[in-house]
Amino acid sequence: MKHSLKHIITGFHIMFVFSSFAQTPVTISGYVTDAASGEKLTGATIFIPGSNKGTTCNEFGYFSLSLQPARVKIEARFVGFEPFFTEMKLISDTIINIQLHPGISIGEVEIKAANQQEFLLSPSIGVHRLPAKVVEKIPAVLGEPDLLKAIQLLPGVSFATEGSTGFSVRGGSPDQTLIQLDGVPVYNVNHLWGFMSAFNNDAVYEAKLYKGSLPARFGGRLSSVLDVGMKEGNLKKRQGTFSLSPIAGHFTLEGPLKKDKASFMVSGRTTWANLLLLAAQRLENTNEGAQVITYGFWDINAKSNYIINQNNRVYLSFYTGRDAYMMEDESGYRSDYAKFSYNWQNLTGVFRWNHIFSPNLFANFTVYNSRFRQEYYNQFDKKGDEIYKGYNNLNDISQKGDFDWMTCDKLKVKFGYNISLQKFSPEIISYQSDSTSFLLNKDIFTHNFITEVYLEADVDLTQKLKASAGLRAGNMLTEDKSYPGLQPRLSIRHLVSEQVSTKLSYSRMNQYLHQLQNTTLGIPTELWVSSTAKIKPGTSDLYSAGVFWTRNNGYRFSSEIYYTRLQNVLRYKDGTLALKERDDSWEDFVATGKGKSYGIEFMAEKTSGNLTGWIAYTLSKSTRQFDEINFGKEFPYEYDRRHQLSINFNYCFCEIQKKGKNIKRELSANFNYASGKYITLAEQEYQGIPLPLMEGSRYGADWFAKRSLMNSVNNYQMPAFHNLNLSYRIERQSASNTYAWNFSVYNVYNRLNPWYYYKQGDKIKQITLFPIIPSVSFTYKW
Amino acid sequence: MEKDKVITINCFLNPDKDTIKAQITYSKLITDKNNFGSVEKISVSLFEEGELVGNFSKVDSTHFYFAHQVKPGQKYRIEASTGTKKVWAETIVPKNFDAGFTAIKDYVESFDYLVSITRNPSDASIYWISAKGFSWYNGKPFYDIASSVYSDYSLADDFNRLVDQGYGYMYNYEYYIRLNSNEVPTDTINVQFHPNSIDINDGQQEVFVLSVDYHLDKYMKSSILLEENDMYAEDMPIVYAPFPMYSNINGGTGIFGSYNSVSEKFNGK
Repeated sequence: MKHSLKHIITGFHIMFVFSSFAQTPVTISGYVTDAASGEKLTGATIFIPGSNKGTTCNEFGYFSLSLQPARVKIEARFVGFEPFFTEMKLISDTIINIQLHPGISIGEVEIKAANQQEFLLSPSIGVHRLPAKVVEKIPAVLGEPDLLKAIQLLPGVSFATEGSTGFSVRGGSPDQTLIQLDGVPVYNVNHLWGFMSAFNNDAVYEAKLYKGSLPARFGGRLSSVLDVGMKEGNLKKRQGTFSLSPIAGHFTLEGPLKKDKASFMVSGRTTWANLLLLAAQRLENTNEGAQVITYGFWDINAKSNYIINQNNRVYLSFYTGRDAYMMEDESGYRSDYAKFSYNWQNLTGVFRWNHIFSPNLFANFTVYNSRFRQEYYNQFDKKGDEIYKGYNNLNDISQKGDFDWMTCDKLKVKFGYNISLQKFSPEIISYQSDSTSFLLNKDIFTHNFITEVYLEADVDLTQKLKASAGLRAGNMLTEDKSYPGLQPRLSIRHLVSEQVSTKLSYSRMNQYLHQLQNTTLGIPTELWVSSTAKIKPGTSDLYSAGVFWTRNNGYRFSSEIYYTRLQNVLRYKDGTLALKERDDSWEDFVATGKGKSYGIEFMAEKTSGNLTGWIAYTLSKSTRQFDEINFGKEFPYEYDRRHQLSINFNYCFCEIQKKGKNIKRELSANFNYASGKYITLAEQEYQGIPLPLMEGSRYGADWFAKRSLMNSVNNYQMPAFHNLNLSYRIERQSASNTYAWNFSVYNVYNRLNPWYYYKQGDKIKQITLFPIIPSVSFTYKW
Repeated sequence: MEKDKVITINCFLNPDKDTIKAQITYSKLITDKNNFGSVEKISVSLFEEGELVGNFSKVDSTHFYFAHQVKPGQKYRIEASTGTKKVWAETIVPKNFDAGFTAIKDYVESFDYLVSITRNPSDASIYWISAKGFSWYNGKPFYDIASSVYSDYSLADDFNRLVDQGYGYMYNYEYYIRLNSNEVPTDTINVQFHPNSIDINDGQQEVFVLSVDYHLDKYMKSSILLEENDMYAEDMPIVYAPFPMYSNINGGTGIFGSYNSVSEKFNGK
């Protein structure tokens, strides 16, 4: 009997063991969205309490998690939303679409979950997420919130000049940051000569800046990636926003085309700077035929998405913006009439299709066209019979596929491909008059054909060690010349404790196109050109390491060091204007060289509570070296700012109820300090000699007698920049609408920061652009 | 500051002259209102095709002369040494060329001229065309270069060109018309132009064609460009990007260039 019982028990054990091995994991998958609007919640976390299993949503709000069949509790969390709990018995692959409700307060668990993912647990280093709602609160010039100016407050990011949207990440030039809107590169991101960016904050959902470890899915630039996502449009109800500031007006309209199935979003913006400029000129110019200058811009974002079924969604996005400057003169001494205009325009269109092949294989296919055009125009008679025009064009058509393969909780794989056809048409000139016409450089254009594939894998090596390894491989074909390249990427995270992690990363990047800068201000006259048979693509090696620490009360701290090496960077040779022959190619007037930058960054953030914000400090150095420039000697890069400090705070006062309205008040402050910018300035002069035939001439005698001597490129460091900006926002919200007033003061203590230096006679003159500027803006939402 | 001063050499070679003049000074701070300082104890030598021709003689604190007639097509080197510092530069004197001039039309105050240059098919040449004549300024006659040149010639360099109709022409070139013979498809280069702001009734006019070497060409072009840009620097400094003046002086600054010329004089009625 005992023998039999022993055998039966043994048999059950054997059966139990075999049945355990025989259990196939099942997958739970689905989307996490905002219950109020249907917007995807990128980065929302899904986890199984009592186990170590969890995941985050991808950029489309999709998640997938492999589990053993069992009865499980599931939690979903995202900052600013009430957590979601459910319990179910898993016996097969299950789809669960989760809607989170906006929450007024978030508890310690939500803070911890938010802090841990990406910041602590992800192997990614040097990644910053900037939601549009955070950008909205940062005090800005003339009350216009601007994403690119907010980016400049992060560690490792330096700006060109005050008020400009041009920025450099860890010593790279502005064209070395890939700026994309819904996955489409935007080639010019400036309005108003660089004082405002092309991104309407009302249309933006959030932006993510990658500056340390760049995942293999990104390529084409040497330093960093700024990935900007547009809102998709409210799937539940129609809503709109209308706002006014001293310089511009915006409107946004979004809503369902079919509830919970399809939505749209349209957002537009325009400036009335031209009206103010015209009014000021009319007051000043009493003579007929005096000079008139106008400037204006507008932009439109539009997006639509349609949920075909659980496995298929399509999106259509469109962006266009145009800047136009015009000067008309009927009083010129050279001629009776002259008109000059300079315009630039972006146009992007993109179609995306999300397809779920299986619960753990998600794909996104994209087709896009991105164009940038600059045009200048001279008219020499009123009738328009004599016209001189110049154009620069860039046209990019691409198709790409990105796959997320969530194999198991310890291994996640992404892979994909990209095919691009780019056409560059720099410096086309046309002239037309009654008697003649010509067209120059119409055949000087370059075609690029780029093909790339990538593979990246996130692997949990041990309980404390996680790695993300990737490889991007591709080829650029141009003018019968091929440039193949391999770009390895690696980042490793070591979890020291529940609250501390250390990370290391390395990225190799290639860049096939370049932007030639011909001013020291970074204003949008710069030319995009391609690598050619003569000009090789740029390459970079990015090394980073960091320590990351979170606390449960919403504080988090990080410190990162970095070293960047750049090869085959381009710059116009000195005196290019003088050296260039008409019809010469730009290739003959650029020098190829190298650059390096290194630094250390510190950041302290508070992400929850009534008081939120961050303090960021960077100590860095960035240089360039070209054999044909500055006698081959290394010189400071234009964006080299030794010290940078940024302190940003936002304080929410307690909400109060008054006459059926919810009243919110917020106070924001922002202090910035940066070491002076380097410029090339002639501190010396030397004796000139009259040109042949000009001995004893009365023309320009004084000028030709002495010449400016510039000993070195970027020989002069301007004084340090610092200012303090404040804003106070009061919002009254009722059931059907919200209106808000924003009162801001830019440059509170009226620091006359040097914006530019130039030589006038024997003196160095300073230009300051922004003294103290108070402003008021108004927003209405329904 | 002493150690940052740069030696400046300014010297043009012209086979029509039998004396070579060189001006040598130090640079100075822009706030220094004194004249440019002289370089003490400096010896200046001229080499022709690598052979020493002779040394310059100091005439005053900043001027050095050498009695020598340079030859077209020859390579020259100037060296200036203080003992502790040496600066040098080289130039090739352009070859002789043929050019003819015709006065083809006359206005009240000037002629229109036709210049015909015979191209040398084996060499690329840079030509600068202008005229000198008389004008009145502050009550006195002045013999000066034309302030600008009107022409329809569209194959010229447009760096100093304005589309500005005058005297029946389409373009206005500041001081000179510059053209590169490589960009002209014909064997003869014919340029018709009208020199501005000189009056034939005030005296003789002389029309010139200069053939310049590479270095002088870049120096002249960057000089005129910088002069134009300096105007914008005062009116619109925010769009002015300073750039270095061209120099071929190794170890210093300035210009050591050469030119050859053909000219003809015209008298009024």
